[in-house]
Amino acid sequence: MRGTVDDEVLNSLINMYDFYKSSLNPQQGLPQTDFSLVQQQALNALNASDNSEQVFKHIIIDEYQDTNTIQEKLIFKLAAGHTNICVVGDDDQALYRFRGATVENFVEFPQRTQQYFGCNVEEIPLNINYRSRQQIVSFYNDFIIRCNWKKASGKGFYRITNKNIQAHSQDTKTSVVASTPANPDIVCAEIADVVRELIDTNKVQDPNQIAFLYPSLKSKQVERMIGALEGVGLRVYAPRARRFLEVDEAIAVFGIYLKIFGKPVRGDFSGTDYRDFHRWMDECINVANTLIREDNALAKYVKERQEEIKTAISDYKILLKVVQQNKWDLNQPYDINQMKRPLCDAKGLSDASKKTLVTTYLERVINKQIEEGTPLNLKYVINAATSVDWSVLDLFYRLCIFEHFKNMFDAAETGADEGPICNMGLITQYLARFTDEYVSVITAQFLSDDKFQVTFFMGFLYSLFRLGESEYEDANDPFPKGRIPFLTVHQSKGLEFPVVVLGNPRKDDKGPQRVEEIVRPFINRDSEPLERMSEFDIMRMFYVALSRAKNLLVIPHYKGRGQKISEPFKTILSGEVTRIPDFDVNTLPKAKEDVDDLPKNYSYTSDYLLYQRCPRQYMIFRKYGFVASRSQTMFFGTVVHQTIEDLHHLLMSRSQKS
Amino acid sequence: MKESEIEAEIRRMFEENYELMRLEGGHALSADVKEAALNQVLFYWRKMRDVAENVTDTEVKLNLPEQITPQGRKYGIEGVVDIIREDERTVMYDIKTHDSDYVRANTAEYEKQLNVYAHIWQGLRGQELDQTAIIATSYPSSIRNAIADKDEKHLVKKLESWNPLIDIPFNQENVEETIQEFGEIVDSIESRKFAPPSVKRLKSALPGKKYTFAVQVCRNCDARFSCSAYRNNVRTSASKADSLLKRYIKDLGSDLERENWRFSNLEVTPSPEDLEV
Repeated sequence: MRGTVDDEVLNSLINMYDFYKSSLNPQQGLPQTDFSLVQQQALNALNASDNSEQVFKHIIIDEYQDTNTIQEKLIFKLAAGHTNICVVGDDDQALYRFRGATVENFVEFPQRTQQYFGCNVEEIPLNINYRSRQQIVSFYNDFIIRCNWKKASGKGFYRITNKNIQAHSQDTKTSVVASTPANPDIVCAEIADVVRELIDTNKVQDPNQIAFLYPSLKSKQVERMIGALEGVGLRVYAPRARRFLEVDEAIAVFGIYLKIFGKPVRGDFSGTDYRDFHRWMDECINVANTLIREDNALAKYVKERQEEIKTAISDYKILLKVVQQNKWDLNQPYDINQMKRPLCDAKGLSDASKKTLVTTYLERVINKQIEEGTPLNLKYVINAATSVDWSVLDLFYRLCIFEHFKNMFDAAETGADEGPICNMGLITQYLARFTDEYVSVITAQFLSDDKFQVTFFMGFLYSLFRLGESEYEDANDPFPKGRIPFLTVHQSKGLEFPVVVLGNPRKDDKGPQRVEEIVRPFINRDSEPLERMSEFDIMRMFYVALSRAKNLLVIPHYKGRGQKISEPFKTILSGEVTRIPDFDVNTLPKAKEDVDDLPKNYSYTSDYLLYQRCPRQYMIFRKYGFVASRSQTMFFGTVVHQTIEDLHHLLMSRSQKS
Repeated sequence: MKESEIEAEIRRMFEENYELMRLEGGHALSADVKEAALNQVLFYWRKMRDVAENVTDTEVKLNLPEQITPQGRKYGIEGVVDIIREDERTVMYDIKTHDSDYVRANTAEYEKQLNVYAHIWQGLRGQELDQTAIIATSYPSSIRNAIADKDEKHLVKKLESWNPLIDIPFNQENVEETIQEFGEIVDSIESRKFAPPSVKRLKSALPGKKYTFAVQVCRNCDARFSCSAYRNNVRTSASKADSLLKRYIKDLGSDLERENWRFSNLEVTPSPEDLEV
């Protein structure tokens, strides 16, 4: 591509990408790849193979509207032999342009099949909606056609227009309501009240059956709505509304970590992220101070850990001095006869470090390493003597001794509130990643000169902070009980809720993404025109939001200074529509318990046996995905099983050959 | 491939698996434990060679769909069988890294699982199994001692007298009972019953084992610190002078366990100057 575009910024980007790609080919070590090119490589592999067209007799693809150009090529290549290809999708729910999807793959599928195979397709309409009550279906059917989908040429549409979606439900009572047109505070209060009423009258089984959907969760309307709901005593679950590190549980846990390890010194950097991160650390410390003030045992625990770290660092310095005095080299092999005494006798050395230096365990390790021809060096022994006995993940589980944290587990056990435990589980995943990628044993060498603080807080946590989003997503059981979920419309795709509140019927058309403009010259195909793309995408995004609702759809009607709602909502809401004050909650059917239509599979060993052993352990590690810190038994079993399986495969392939 | 070549290959595969899992899990096994794991595979090969060489299918996924719990939930049962061997006879083997003497003394515990797996397999394949058995790879202390003494002759002798294969009888009643229990547990999970076992249970020995539930299960569970049952168990145990809190905090395991953890993980911990921050 280089040299083909006349754009300074773009050319710089191309140069950087070129550099990146060449950096992926290290002289040694594992080959690395740019994941964005994996599908391209797959296509190359299929093209190079002689029978790739014959492997699959039938190809069926769901959610076809979300495929991209290369995927289309892959699919048609694989289907070329038998030409049996069935695609299922809904172009109105195409949301993934931002990651390369092209809805034309679906809309133009009949033409593409003509091009590739020279044959016609059979269309099977799936136009009965089994999810929503009648008014909801009519509402979004009406919504989606209020945009001009006609192609500029006048021939055909950028959308499949003859869908005729019909509700299966015969219930024609009110199922779409709008708030009174008013300023946001009044609107949010009105909605909070009706939500409260739905819960109190058992129209939903749990608050998690009421979803608030937003084009983006980084909006003032979100904060306002959360405030209104909390004002009537409801709790929300909005992991993406703010950074994950800003949830209460993360603030409390990392506040205690900051107390124990000490806050890293603030450097001389400007930049809002850096400033915000330091503010975040300050807030963590404030919260930790309160927790410590209110819990003597916790205060004592934190103090002991601080002392432990201090002692480890001091021991480390003392031992280094001995090394210096004796003119030893840290990298020289550890000579137990010559070195043990002077090290142990060092003035001021703590008993704990002394004990490790004289332990028979150490002696055994040393002798074994000598036997194997890889003697331990002095540095290793000093590190072993002066490290603490716990990893950052161990520390987390120990903190759960204390009331503030223990209460979160109790709330999950009784089913009162799952919010905190979900976040706590996620914290263990982050901490486990730190022990995976950085260190599990915290040595005094690491603790000294602020190296640990810099790595843990300014390296690891700061990256998480800047990354912003949480990663808590459990497709099977996504929303904690006892909480009202706040989601982006994108997150809600494929889900359904008894009650949906479209939290903000506004998304401004800011034109196409820059990347679409950049790639446009390279795509020689009849695509949606650049200047309409964003408008279409906004329509589809709202369509997805509206079609998540089963029993009730609520739309706020913000009005007043600086308030705006997007078309076609503006026109629709100015027409005839039921307002919340005129809505009788009693007419609403009760939501059923969420029972998956598809039966779940349970594993004999990792569900049945595990639950039988301890239901609580099952809940924490299996249901909420906590990462265990010391799971030797599991590791042991897995490595033995895996190797035996590999052995079987080896033996089988050998007997096949002979 | 000669036998020695196969053993070399086992060592290579073992190291590769170990390294991968260590990187994934972020922690290491202590040198002794790691060696024991390798030995289990090597001895499996030496003792069960006839089985290993005649495996026709491994890691067979089983699924029993269309089950209904007592409370009316639909569900399916999943399992994975380690080995199927089909020659004149068809045998299903399940490999457990458990102690062979323990398995032999407590076959009832294993019967349930193998009976259900056999039931599913037979249903799926429309074919009877001639035998089901456990291969218990954890070797007895006599072998462990022979290894420690580095006495190769003695080891060969002890290996000869060890039998890791334990026959598990088939019993249809077992199958129905277990599936019934399975359904009850699915109901408990779905209706969110997650209270820990009672303190009484924690204090009682596990069937066939000399340790209590608290020692065998809880002490290996990181979540014990926040667990009401475990805390009550500690609180009501024969007390030392320490405060409750102090006892928890000391609860990092025995000296040996702590040293094990520290040394084996330190070996694979990069030093700060090697970390890319």
